[in-house]
Amino acid sequence: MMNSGTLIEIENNKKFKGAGGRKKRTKNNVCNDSRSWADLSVDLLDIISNNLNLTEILTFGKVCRNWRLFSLTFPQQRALVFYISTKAKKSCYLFDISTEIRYKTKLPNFAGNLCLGFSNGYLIMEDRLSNVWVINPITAHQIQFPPMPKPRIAALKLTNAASK
Amino acid sequence: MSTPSVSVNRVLKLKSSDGEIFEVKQTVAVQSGVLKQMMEDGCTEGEIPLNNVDSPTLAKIIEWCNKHHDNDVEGRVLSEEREKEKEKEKAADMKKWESEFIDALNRDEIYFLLTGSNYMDIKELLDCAAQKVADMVKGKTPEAIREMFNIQSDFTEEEEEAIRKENQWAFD
Repeated sequence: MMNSGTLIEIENNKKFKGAGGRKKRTKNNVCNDSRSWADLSVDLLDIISNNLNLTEILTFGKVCRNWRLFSLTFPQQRALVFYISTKAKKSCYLFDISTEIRYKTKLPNFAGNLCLGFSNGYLIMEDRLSNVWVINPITAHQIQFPPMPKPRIAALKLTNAASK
Repeated sequence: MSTPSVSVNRVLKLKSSDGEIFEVKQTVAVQSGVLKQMMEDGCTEGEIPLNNVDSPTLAKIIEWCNKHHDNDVEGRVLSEEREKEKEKEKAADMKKWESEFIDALNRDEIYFLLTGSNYMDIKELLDCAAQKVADMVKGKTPEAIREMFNIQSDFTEEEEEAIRKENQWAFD
């Protein structure tokens, strides 16, 4: 299993933040003036990011936790289209409808696998050994599951439909 | 725009977070969605406390609003034939003024202008400040952005490592 994203950890922190944050607080008290850039509200980050393209927003999300949380919601805020070719080696494409810019990336372990669906920003994939995994095409974070009991396809479809 | 309770000669008294009083014409203050709403509701008697805006920021915000107001008023005096042509010219002048206005500010001033215009709901100023921040971010590495805004990385070492390994999206 690749452990690139730590998305789940970040999601957990989001919940923590509501309860007062953890180590961030102490940092805030130290540097009084400019600390606030890291704590910009979501609506301000949103207005700023309207002037940025996808690659810039992804860089933006590498600055600090708060900005990262925001950047990860970006795919849900803009109309994005994914192109995945079954013949493609690893590349997949992403088209941002609002800016009409097309982006390209390579995802790990992507070749020849079947895309079963898309849910909450994650692609649901099945490989040749019938392992099922989900992958976030933005961060490349992926989680692998053990093979499904049969009839697995029916079960997957049901899951996918319910999440939409 | 019909705002019956707004009169040309009346002023609003705005009180900054540090207690300074600023007098602003009602016709200028309508650019703030919050103040406009208050005028329509008829609750602008006495001092209006703006607890999230300090006096240097409020002075900047008022400078912006005055400039945009004067520009609008001037527009109405012009004859119709020349209006279009003049409009274009004026828009270009205003753009230039805006960029000079925003470029003269330091990092902290931009921050307070951003939050202040958001708080007072002054859309044009907010957009201008947001554009400036976006321009500052463009083409920089995360490290350079942190340095520019004096942001401490609050990622754990593992997270930093994972972020470094993240896949790259490129223009196709």
